[in-house]
Amino acid sequence: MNFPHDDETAYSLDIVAEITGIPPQTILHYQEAGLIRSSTYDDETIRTLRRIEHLHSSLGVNESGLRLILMLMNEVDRLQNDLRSKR
Amino acid sequence: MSVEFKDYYAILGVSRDASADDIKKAFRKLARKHHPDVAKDKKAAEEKFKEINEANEVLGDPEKRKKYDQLGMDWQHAGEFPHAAHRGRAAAPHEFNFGGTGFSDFFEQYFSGASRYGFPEEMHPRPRAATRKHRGNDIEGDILVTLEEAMHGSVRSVSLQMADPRTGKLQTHSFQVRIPPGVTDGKRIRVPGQGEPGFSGGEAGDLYLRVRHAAHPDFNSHGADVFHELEIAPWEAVLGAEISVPTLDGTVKLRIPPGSENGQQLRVRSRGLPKGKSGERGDFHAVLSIQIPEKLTDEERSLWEKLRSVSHFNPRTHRQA
Repeated sequence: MNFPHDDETAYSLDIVAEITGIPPQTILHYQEAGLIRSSTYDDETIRTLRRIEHLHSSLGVNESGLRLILMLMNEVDRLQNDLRSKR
Repeated sequence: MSVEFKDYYAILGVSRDASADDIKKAFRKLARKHHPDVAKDKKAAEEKFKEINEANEVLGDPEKRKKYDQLGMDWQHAGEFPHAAHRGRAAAPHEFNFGGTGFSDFFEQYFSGASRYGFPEEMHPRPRAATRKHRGNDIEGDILVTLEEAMHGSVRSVSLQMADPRTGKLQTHSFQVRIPPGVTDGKRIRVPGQGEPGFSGGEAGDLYLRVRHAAHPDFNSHGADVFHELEIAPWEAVLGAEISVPTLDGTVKLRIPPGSENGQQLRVRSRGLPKGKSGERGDFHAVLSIQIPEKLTDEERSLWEKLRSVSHFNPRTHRQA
């Protein structure tokens, strides 16, 4: 059986564009703007891109707002995980 | 979809005013007894182990425990709790139930850390007209993964029941989810196409399952590193010792150096969880916890008294000017 959702999967730019429906140039732009990691594209990148699209298109959040929201969400995630591992 | 109230105190066999330490001890004792690796009836033990873990997840977290206690009181007053009203949103078309994630519906309803969607639901407006191609929403949930599974990887059967947003009809999808070796706590596993169905020919959303490492009676994880609380006697701390310590894959002999302190960490390289496919592994850390004997025999007492009279050790020297 094929498991395409293996978390080790690294995708190419074209594949990420296909999965998310976001044009490659836009993805590269997000990358340059520091909204997504620039090293590798994985499932976490896809999730982040979907969040960006949603925040941008449904809620009209601009790029500075996006950066702040993503940073805060990552921080909340990190703190929650830290807290869990301390118990 | 109504949920059944879970009595987490009864599951751990502790009273409602139990201290955090009592809860920790009760959890460890039960988790050791029902750990699927040691029990004879593996299937029954697994169910029990999940239940204990869930109870510990809630009662072991002061915030969740507070919420749970409040919930319990409301439940008693209201009979069955009107969960939709509690979450402050309409019920029917957006509810869903997971199966095979290791958490009960009750837990998922009230204590699942992540929102079920990438965002709170009110931020996901429904498309006004179903005429435009529209991708289905992503769904997020938690999946309980034991450290043994995280060590070796596994395949889990998960099911997701939800109402079709167009017809309101309940549908259950079952699928396999691969838990990759070395998966860390908090990592999200993407299951493509298992989110909400799309509209007007749009693709279905994805399902993201956030990995929650099951609490283990002997180990904690932090990333790929594994921590073990190693209880030692005061004389072992002072004089040093050699102790066999369990790890996730067999025991290791640890040398406790003389003069070790409480809370000191001894590291064993590369005996933690795998780091993805790299072949590398995290480290194993034994955290020393000096235990004081509770009951003394007459002979032991006289030896401690002798130590008191001959020792020049003063732990409070810094206080003397």
